[in-house]
Amino acid sequence: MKKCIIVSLIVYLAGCSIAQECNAQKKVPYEFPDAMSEAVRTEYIKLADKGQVLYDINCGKCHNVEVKRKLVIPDFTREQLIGYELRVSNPKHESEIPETTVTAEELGLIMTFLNYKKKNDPLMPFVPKEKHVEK
Amino acid sequence: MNKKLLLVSLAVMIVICFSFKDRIKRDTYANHYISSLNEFQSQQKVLLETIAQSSLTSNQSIEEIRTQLIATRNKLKPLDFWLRYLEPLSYKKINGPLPVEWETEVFEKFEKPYKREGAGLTLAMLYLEEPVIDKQQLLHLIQSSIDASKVYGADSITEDFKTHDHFYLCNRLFILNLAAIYTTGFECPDTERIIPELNLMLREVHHTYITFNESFADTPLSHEYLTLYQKTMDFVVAQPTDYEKFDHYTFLKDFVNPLFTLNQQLIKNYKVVSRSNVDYSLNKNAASIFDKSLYNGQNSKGIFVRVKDPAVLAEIDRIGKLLFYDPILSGNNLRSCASCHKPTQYFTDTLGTSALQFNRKDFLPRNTPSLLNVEYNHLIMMDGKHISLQDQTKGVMFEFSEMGSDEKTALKKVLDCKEYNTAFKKLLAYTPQEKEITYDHLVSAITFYYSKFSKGSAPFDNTMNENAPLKQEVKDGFNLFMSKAQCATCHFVPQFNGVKPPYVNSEFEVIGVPADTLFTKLSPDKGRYGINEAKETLHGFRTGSLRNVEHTAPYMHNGVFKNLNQVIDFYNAGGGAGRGLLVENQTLSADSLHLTGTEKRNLMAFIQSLNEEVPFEEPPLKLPASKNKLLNTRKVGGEY
Repeated sequence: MKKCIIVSLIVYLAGCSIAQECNAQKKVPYEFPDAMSEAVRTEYIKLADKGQVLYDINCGKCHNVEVKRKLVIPDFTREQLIGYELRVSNPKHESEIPETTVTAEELGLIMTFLNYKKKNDPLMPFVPKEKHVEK
Repeated sequence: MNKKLLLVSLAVMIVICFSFKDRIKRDTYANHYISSLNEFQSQQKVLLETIAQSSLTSNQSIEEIRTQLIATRNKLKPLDFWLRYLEPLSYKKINGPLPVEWETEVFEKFEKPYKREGAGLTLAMLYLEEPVIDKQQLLHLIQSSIDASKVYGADSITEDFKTHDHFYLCNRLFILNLAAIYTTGFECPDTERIIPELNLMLREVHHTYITFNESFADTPLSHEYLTLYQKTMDFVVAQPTDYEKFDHYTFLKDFVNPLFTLNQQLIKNYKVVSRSNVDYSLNKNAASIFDKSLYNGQNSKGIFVRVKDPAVLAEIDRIGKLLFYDPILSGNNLRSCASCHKPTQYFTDTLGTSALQFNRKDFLPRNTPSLLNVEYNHLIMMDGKHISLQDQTKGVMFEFSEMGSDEKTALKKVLDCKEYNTAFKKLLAYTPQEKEITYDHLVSAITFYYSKFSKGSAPFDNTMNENAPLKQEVKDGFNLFMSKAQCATCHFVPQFNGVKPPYVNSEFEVIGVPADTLFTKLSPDKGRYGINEAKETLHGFRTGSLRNVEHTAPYMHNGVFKNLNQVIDFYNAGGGAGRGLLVENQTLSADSLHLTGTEKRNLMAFIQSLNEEVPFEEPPLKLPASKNKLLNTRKVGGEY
């Protein structure tokens, strides 16, 4: 029993440190142009954060891809991030994200998030948490 | 051996033959489109040539042009079914209602309005009536129509013809246009041609249907649909060709609306997918044109858009109601939404021309509009200043002459009330993108609350949907509304507001409303010009809905008319210009409508049939208590 607690504690602590590590990486999950002023950047981060939540609710389910058992938000191309035309550019969107599900304002926030989201590294796919724990 | 080979090759040939035949069948429909387009384009060239060579001096030379113009329209009408749907912008250049339009379509309402020039054949028809005809202008109109029509041969458009999807969506728009514009003269200035063109169009579309069913045998128009369509054609053929004598009422009720219902079923059955912004607002689940969910205007739920749970919605409604009546949202804690939008007076103020200003001395320049059915508009306010109900709500609260508040103070005052604070904290779970309670939560609750009063139906809807009996004078009134009285060219079926099929934008009109009933001068209010500074928009106002209008006096943006009789007389006289005011850009004809007394009464009977069943609620008994004791003396609904 004691062992069990100790093990789980270790696992928990390891998890925490990894989570922090991830957080440290996640702290700048966006890529903004260098020329963007600090004040504007702060505002954009607020918008993009909202966009991320909305993306998770409305888009992630279909669009996230599994890389080594971990769901990753894909990098969309500029051509794919076209605003309102999204609603008809993909037949599924017509029924899944009409204005009664995702408003135009919210679509804008999602676009902001996806536009400034840090690109995934194609050579180093996200390493799932569990593997770290095993080590 | 040889025999076998012969047999096999024979079989192969038969298979090839059959597949070829299938291929031909497959192409019948697309080829029909291409050949109709070619015919139209050649006829356009003939028209251009006729104008170029015409002296334009004799009546005979003008008649020649008119004949070619009619011939061109007759070649356009078979294509209307496709062109209006496949590329609506180009269609405006071929056959638009106005030479210049300022558009703010729903999907682009975050952008500034943009200018669209066009009119083509419609305007050419009107130019021929003028005493001096400018040949260059006429040539320019036809040339731009020719240029615009080239778009329709592009691969990006013909690509659509490979599947059945576009067909059912084209057909839906066609049916909606039959209901709203094709019988009113909206895009056919020569009123004698309206019903003949309708006949021609119905016949040609029938031909299109046949070719479609041949090419798309797996997803055909049903026998039921085609039978009803045949009856529709028979009905129209048997009707008088004068659009004033045409039975618009029966046409809509017994034919067009049932066709719409059948087409919506087919759209669902065949899992039709849209790839066009034309369908942006339309709802596939609406079974009738007179179903209030036909198109999506505004998001009344605001930030709570995804909430579906009835218990949570009931809580938003409860809080919204309290806020609607709570003067805490105003700068001096004395005014609430209900101060001007009086729930017992159809959410407007029927007693005064306009409401008091915040300073309690002066009056506001515009009449208080009713909140009923505002959600069926894409732009809000009479000048279209706001793109959402929530923006409008904030606009009024922060306007110093109206509620004189500001976001920070008002939010703090609301959250200082325990009841509001607890309720919104719980609701925060339904807006995970927001970390804390924002002003958007407040205004969304308000818009959700008042929008529930717009769900009712009027006797006219009940007739269309359930065949409820309707008096003859109402039917006569509707027929006038759609023809001689020229109401329906701006107040479109089914909301009778300025939103026409495919219901993606709100229209503005310049009608020359006077400053007083003696018509001494034009109302100084610049209207839409204040938002979009273009000469065409000066004194332009968003077309309001006629639903419940009997209960929402006084009328017009400045409340100048005290009753509907005055309003009908105003239109009957040709608006401000008809009464001698100088209104250079009036979009309403300055000619008299020559309505008789009986006709005016019938028109009124129809307008009364648009009075909806609006539920009324008692105001809340008390308002949430605040930490600040001074605020707890505030009155439900405010003081002025």
